[in-house]
Amino acid sequence: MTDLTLTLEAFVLNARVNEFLLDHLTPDDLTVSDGRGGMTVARMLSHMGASRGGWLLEMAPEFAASTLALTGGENPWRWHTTDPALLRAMLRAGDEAAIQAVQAHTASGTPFADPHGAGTFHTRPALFLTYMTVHDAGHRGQIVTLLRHAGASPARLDDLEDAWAVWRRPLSPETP
Amino acid sequence: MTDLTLLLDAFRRNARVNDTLIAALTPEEFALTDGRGGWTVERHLRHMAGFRVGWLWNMSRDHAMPLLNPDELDADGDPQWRWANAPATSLPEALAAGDAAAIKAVEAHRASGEPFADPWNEGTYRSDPAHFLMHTIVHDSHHRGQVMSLIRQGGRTPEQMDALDSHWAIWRE
Repeated sequence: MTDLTLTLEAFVLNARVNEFLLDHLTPDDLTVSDGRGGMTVARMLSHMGASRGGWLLEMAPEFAASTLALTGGENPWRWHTTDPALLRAMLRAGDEAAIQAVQAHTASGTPFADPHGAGTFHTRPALFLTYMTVHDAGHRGQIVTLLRHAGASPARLDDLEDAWAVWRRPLSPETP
Repeated sequence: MTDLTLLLDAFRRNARVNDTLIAALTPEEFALTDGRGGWTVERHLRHMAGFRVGWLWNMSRDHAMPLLNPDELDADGDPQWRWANAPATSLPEALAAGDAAAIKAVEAHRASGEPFADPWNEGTYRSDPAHFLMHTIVHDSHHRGQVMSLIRQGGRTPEQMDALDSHWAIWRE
C-alpha cells in the first residue's frame, strides 16, 4: 500500500498554515477584493474550505456530510461566508473528511468515483490531499496579493511570511 | 524510513504545472506588475527557480554546485547562479535543473542520515529532508497564484483564465 506518511504530515502542516493565516486576518481584510470581479478574501477562504467537500461530493459522497452540515445543504462550490469561525470550521471539517476518504480508499484499493470524467486522482487517491495543499497555497498567494493592494504595510506582510517556518521547522515549539 | 514515491510523483507533477504555466504566458505578460511595487511575473518565476538553489546553497552545498558557475561570483563573492542573467525563456530549464538537484540532495541526505546543514538557524527540514520537496511545491503554488492574479489584472478574460485553470487537471490524473 502507498506510504501516506509524508503526504499526511504535509497536509497537517498545511492546516497549520491556514490557521495561522486566519489568526492574522482582520474582519476588514476579509472584504478585500481586486475590484475587478475577482473573489474577496473571505470568498477565497470559503472556496478553499468547501472545495474539500465539493470534490468529496463528486468522488466519495459518504465523506461529504460534515461539509454539507456546515453549508446547510447548499452546493459547496456556491457556499461562502464572511464569518471567521465558520471559515475555520469548514477548513477543519473538510480536512478531516479528506483524510478519512483518502485513508479508506487507499486501504481498500478502490479508486474515487469519477461520474463526470473530471479526473479524480485515480492513480493515487492520496494525491487529493496534495491537490488541496497546492490549491490552498495558490489562493493564499492571491490573498497576500490582495492584502498588498489594499495597503497592508510591509511589516504586516513580513509577519505573514512567518508562516513559511511551519514547512521548514514543523516540530519546533517556536514555530507558529 | 518513509517511502518517497507519492512525494516524488507530486514533485514531477508540480514541474509539469510550472512548465504549462510558463508556456501559456505571452512575452508581454512576463513584465506585468501590480503597479504598486510588487514583483513582475518574471520575478516571481525567477524567485521560484532561485528558491531551489538558494536553499541548497545553505543546506547541502555540493548539491547546489551543478546550478552554479564557479567562474563567476555574485555580489557576496559566492558562485553565481547559472541562470542569474539568462532570459526568461530559459526559466523552464532553470526549474528543471533545480528540481533535479533538489531530488538528489533529498535522496542523498535521507540515505546517509545526515541532516541538512542549517548555518543560519532557519530550520532546514530536520524532521525529514523530504519536506524540502513539499515546501518547494507549496512555495511554487503560492507564487503561481500571484502570477495568476497578475495576468488576470493584466487583461486576460475570465474565459482565458478558465482555460488556464485546466492545468489543475495535471494533479488529478
